[in-house]
Amino acid sequence: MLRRAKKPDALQGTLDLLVLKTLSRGSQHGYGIATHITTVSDDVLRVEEGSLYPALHRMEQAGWIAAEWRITANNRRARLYRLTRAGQKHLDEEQEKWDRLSKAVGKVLRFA
Amino acid sequence: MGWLRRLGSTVVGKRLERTLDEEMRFHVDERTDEYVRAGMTREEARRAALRRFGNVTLAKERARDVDTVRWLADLGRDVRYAIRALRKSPEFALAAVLSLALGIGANAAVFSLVNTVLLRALPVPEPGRLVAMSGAGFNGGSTWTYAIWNEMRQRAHLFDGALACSDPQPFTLTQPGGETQTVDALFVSGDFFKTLGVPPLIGRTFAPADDVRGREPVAIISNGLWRTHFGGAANILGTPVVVEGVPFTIIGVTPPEFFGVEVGRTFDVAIPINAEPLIRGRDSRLDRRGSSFLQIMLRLKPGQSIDAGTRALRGEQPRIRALAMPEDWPAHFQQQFLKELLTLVPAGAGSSGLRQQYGRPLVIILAVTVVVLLIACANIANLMLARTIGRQHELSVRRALGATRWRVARQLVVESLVLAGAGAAVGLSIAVWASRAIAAQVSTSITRVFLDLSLDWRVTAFTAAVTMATVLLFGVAPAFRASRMEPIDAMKQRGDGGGRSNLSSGLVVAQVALSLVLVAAAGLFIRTFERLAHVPLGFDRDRVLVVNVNVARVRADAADRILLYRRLIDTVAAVSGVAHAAASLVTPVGGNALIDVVNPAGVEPTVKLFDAPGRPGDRTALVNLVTPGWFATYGTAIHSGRDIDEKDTQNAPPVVLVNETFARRFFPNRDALGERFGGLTPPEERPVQKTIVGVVGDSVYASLRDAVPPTMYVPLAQARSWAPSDVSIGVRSSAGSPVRLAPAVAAALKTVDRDVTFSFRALADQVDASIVRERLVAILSAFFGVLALLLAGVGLYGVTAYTVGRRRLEMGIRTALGARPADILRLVAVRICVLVALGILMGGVVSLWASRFVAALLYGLEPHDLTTLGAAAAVLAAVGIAAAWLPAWRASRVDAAEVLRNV
Repeated sequence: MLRRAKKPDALQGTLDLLVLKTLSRGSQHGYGIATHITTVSDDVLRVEEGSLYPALHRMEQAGWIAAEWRITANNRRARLYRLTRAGQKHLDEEQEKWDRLSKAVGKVLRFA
Repeated sequence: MGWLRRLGSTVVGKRLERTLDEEMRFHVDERTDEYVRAGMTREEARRAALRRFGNVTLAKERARDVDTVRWLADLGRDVRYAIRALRKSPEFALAAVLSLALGIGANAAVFSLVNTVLLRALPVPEPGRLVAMSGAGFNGGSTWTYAIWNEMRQRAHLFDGALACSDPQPFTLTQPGGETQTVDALFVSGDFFKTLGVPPLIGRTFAPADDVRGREPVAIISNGLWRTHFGGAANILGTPVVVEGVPFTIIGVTPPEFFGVEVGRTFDVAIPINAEPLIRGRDSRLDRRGSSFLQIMLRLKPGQSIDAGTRALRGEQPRIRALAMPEDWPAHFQQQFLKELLTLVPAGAGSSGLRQQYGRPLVIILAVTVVVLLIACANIANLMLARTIGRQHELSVRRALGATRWRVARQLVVESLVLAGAGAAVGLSIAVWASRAIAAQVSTSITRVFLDLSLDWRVTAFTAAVTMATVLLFGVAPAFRASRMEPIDAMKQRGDGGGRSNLSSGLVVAQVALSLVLVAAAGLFIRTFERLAHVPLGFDRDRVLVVNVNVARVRADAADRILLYRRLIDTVAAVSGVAHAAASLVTPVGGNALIDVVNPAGVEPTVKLFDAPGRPGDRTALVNLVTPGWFATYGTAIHSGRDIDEKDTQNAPPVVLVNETFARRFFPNRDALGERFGGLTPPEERPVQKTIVGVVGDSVYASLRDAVPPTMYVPLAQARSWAPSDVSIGVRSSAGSPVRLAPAVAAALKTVDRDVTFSFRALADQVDASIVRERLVAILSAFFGVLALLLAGVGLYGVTAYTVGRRRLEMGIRTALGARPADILRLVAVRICVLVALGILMGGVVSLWASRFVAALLYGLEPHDLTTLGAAAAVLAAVGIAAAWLPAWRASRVDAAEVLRNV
């Protein structure tokens, strides 16, 4: 599951989690989300930018995030995404699942 | 609700694309700026940013995949694929589309007629509030006297308005050049158009003030007459239109969709009821309190129920009846008149004689077309099944490549949809043409039928529903079968096709059964028509021209009228080529009837005319008023006694001729000649005794369907205190067709009196017109019967050919092992015979059950007519065997060596 695959779908669950977590800190546009993930993960996680937007739209359809157009500081129109209540709930669940998984993986690694 | 949003995003797909574009551009721009800040040139930065972003198109497609209702897009692909697949087998596609087009077209055409005749509301605002006043007894209770209307008009405030109108009257319209043509004229009340809610196209409609006796005569013309007769001229208002010799001033034109209140008829001119005396002169019906000729309709108030309306009407009934009482009626009738209840019936769809006459036949023909479509569907289902088996390889390869069962099944359903859609499209254009053609068959030279057959939502919805139903019927079985296809089947060399065989055999049996039902029904209808067409008439239909003469506007007293008629008859008789001429009040199957009771001496007198509305009692006889020579003119034999002659006048002793049925009924076991009897007489009066001076052969009176009724023929000159204003002069040609005499007769009649109006019709046309319904039903059922036979034959052929094809190897082996061609033939034939026999058996049972629904339309036949059923079964057996013979015979000629070599 953690295998780095060419197919973006394999990491979809993870990508959702990262995006939702990013947005839980406040509204952000796609570029901001991508940059944030890359920066925070010290360049380890690089979101495949092409697959970010489909993911955003899918999540918007699912009702986890909502979007609106805003003008940025440098006078460009950007689409700002924010977390909805449903999104927050989904994030909590996913995060818990992830925590459990990573804890389990960590245990196995330590034990071996 | 997610699907709804997704559906929405499909619709607004373009907007989504723009959003994505802009969003991605923003991303790339930001990234470029970042790289520039890091020290790249703008161009390098942009390339790097794009590289990092990845494949823009792919990203967009992915986003779209997410948002679109997937199957909608897939559907488009399926449709394209289906069209490609069908193109590969054009014969199959053509056969399927053609048979569907015929089936769906026939259904849509007949339904379009059902819709227009039975279902559609009048083209007026809020037709649901229109009701008609109905009684129970006299004249079937649907028409009323002017006196009754006069009372109702004054009580219109009980409702949201009241209106009255006559049936369309065949009146002459005189052109400026002096030529005349016959038009349909309506007498309407002053608030007819306002109550209906029909606005004028130009000018104005009637006001109550126009419908007052002695007022300047005004008329409103229909859009049709305006266009054809007046060229649609805008300055038509104020010009005169001459109806029955009376000039009316045109004050308005009605909109094109308005045809009056009778479905199946239309009108050219509408004139106020109170203008009737101008046309009918002394014979005006306005003051004759026994003369019913008006339909009365009311518009209920908003919220007023039909029951509430009836209650309001019943409250006024005693006064309406008392004030409109025909004073000259016998007391017995007056009592009945007072008691008869007034009722309101829904009239939102208008009134229609056509509806009564054609309602049931239309529904039956619709059922027939549904069955034809079922048979066509069975054929296509069989073809599709065979095709599915043939495409086994293709379909299982698709399964092997990852298509789900559902996906494969859906694809076949889409193919069916494409076929049905094409069929429906062709079918609808057939329907538009066919429904008009059928309606044209209903029109006769006597009655002009007008139907607005434009396609409306009901016809469209019906056609769509029928189309979907066909898809379910013929598309589901193959799709189900295809969905059972396994990927592994692709590896197999040969499908076993098991299961198909049973299903298709079942379809064949059903086809044969349904075809038998249709063929049997067609047989019944054809024999009914044939019997009606050969009913012994008792008169010569082909030698007589009927001249309907009206003398209402000739200034002549009642007594003088008899003389006038005599002069007219003598003048016509002198025309060269005329063998005989004589007048009568009623013509055979002319639609009118006179009725009287028969009170022979020594029998308790009765005044009872009817047992039930429209059903004469057993002491009644039909009456005709005739002039001397009438029997010779019509070719009716005088069996004993003498014809009436010129000496049988008002002052001579009353005489009468009777037909044989009359003589048998009222004077059984003795010679009727010389017997005397009285007619309907008020109890306080002494009955006039008529003496029978002749007995004539039976002849048809009003209807070919009825047994010849007891009939008496009274001299026109002896009709008591009453000389009719119109009679029919029968003109017998000395040789050949009587129609060619018309111009000479017309010229002769004009020399007698210029104010006499007349019209011609051949007696043969009149007889044919009376069975036009039976003719139409026979033609349509025969057409559909043949179509059903054809479809069933094709189906049987297809299935046999397919079966034989599949068993080729088996046959080859059998032949190799010594089976003779005859054995092989038997092998195939037995199976087909069993199927056909089963179908005939089932069809026979269904026919016997269904025949009860057509019983009312038959004449001279029992619905369970075994001869017809037997003949139908024989025809079906013959067609079945013929259709199966060819493939079976081919199978018997299988070259064993060749088959076995090719295994």
